[in-house]
Amino acid sequence: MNKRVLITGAAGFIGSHLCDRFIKEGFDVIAMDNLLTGSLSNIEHLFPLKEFTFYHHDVSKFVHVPGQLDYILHFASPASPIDYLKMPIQTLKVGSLGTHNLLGLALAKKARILVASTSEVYGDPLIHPQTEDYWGNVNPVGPRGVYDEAKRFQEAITMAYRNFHGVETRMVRIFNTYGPRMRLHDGRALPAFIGQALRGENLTVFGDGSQTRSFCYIDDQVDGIYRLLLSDHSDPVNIGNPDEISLLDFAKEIIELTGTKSKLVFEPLPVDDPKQRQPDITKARKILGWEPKVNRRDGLRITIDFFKSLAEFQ
Amino acid sequence: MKKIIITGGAGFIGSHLVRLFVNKYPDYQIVNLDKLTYAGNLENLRDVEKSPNYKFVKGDITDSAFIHQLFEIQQFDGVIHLAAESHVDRSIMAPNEFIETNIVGTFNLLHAAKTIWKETSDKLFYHVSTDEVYGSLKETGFFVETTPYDPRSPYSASKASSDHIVRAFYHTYKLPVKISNCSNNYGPFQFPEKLLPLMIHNIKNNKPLPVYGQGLNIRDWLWVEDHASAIDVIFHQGKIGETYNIGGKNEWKNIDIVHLLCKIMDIKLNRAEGESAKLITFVKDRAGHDLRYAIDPTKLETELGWHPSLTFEVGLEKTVDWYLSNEEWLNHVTSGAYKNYYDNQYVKR
Repeated sequence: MNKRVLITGAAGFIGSHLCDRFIKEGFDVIAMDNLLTGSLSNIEHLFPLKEFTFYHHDVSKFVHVPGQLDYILHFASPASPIDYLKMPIQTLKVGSLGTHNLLGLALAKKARILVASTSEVYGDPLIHPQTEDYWGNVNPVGPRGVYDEAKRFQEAITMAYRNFHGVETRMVRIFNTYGPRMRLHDGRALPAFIGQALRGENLTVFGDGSQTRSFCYIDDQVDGIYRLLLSDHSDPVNIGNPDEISLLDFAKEIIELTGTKSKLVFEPLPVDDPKQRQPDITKARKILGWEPKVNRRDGLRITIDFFKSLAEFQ
Repeated sequence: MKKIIITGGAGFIGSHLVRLFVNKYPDYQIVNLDKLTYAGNLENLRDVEKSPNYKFVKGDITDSAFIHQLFEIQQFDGVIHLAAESHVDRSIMAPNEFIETNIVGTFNLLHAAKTIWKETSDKLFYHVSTDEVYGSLKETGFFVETTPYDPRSPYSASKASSDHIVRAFYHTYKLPVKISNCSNNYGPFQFPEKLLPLMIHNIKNNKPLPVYGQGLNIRDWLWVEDHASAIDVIFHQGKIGETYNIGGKNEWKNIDIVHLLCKIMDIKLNRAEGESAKLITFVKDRAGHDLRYAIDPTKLETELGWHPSLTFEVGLEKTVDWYLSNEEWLNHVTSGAYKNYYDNQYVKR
């Protein structure tokens, strides 16, 4: 009998790629999503497979899955600032109540659970790059607090279930990730830049563009998560690409790769926008033998092609 | 290839229909959409869950955005809609969910079909309903397809509403629809809140057999697999826009059924004749309890050639045998929540 995995947030960007990977690895996949920010179109291609089942469900409510479960991957949450600012309560609930429900399910099914945490737990970090033992610099009452604190609580309750109930837990701290199935209008810099470039509009850079980001290609991210799940390491592990670039240089790179005639325009920096975010992946390298393989320009070409294929650009 | 969505496919009647279609039509893709409420149970479908032409999707028909997305990506050719809250007693205690699921849910499915289906010549929306929409009969007469609707419980009123909305989509938007109204069903996998499994369970465990009023209400009973086969016939051969009554011309007073069951169970359980019948306890009647239902299935029999496959005595014995040899199933579905419901309904009456 195949191993059976429950993936929450399965119709989202990372969740849908995880579905692909686990199907490819020979698992039976139960995909759960409330479709608040996810879309069935991301997993449509999996529907014909008998190994794939879709549960339309909000994990903030009691989660019931009949039958055995070997693994649970909790990836349900609004994850873009424009989403969690619009849905602050749901964001807090899915990180807290949702995680609680899934930990309970993991306990009941004797399943191993991996929760998706985030580089946001480091807030606006005071050290660079961020190692897993950095405790972060988060403003709990700032606009991003709903997401950051939900994820910090998620890590706390996950540790509690490991320590108190002996549930097998894994935690991945995901840094900026990009690739096909990202939403064009999720408000992040990468799809915003590409969208503007493809429409021939000017690219909007916030502040002077000196703030840096590091972008991890989705296949690398999924591979890191997959390895972490199957490892025996229950402390948080950063998965991201340390290759850092300023947003100004990044905007220029997008202009070059898309071949657009767009120019740059500058606008004031929003509140609580992190100045610098770069993962230290020493631990992932050592424990998982993992490191990113796809360089940014290659990943961006694939991603730009994906965005070009959207109805909006046809 | 045809892709058909069956809603409520994990329920009692739905699971029999899913099994029939998955096995009989290997070239159809059957998508079973079910919310898995207390009455929906995937254990009912263990034998077909790995079939390559079967797919389960968990979801709620009251969620219009989800239904629309599902119809959009799945491009169904047919809908067979059975998802419904179906227990009259529950509808008396809490009608809300009956309005939501049975009326709004049906509308959402119709609306999605109408919106997504550009070309409707090879499409079909099949709505499964109940004979209770016709109200209550006196000692004589039968429900025919033209009997005026006269629903009297929140359950039957919600089903009547859904029937009307389905017909409205046919007349107004030319959506290809068919409707069938069936009498009481019995057979394996029926949730033990309904009369037959409840009595079987209680007889076996020497618990009181709660009979409403004097047990004089008359119901018309059909073997659940015969209901499924009737749906199959109507789905494939029935006329668009038409309604078909489904029934086995098999009327029984509740008290007579209970006595017959006691007789069968006495033999099966090696009890002295008449021993189980001592468990019969009359309880306060259900509010607005309809006296008699009786279906006239002439249209279905003469136009489409459908007939029930077995007699009530045979079906009843098969049902008893199934419940006696599937104790585990019964224990699984009778969770704590069900026990509370049972106490409120019968014990504290």
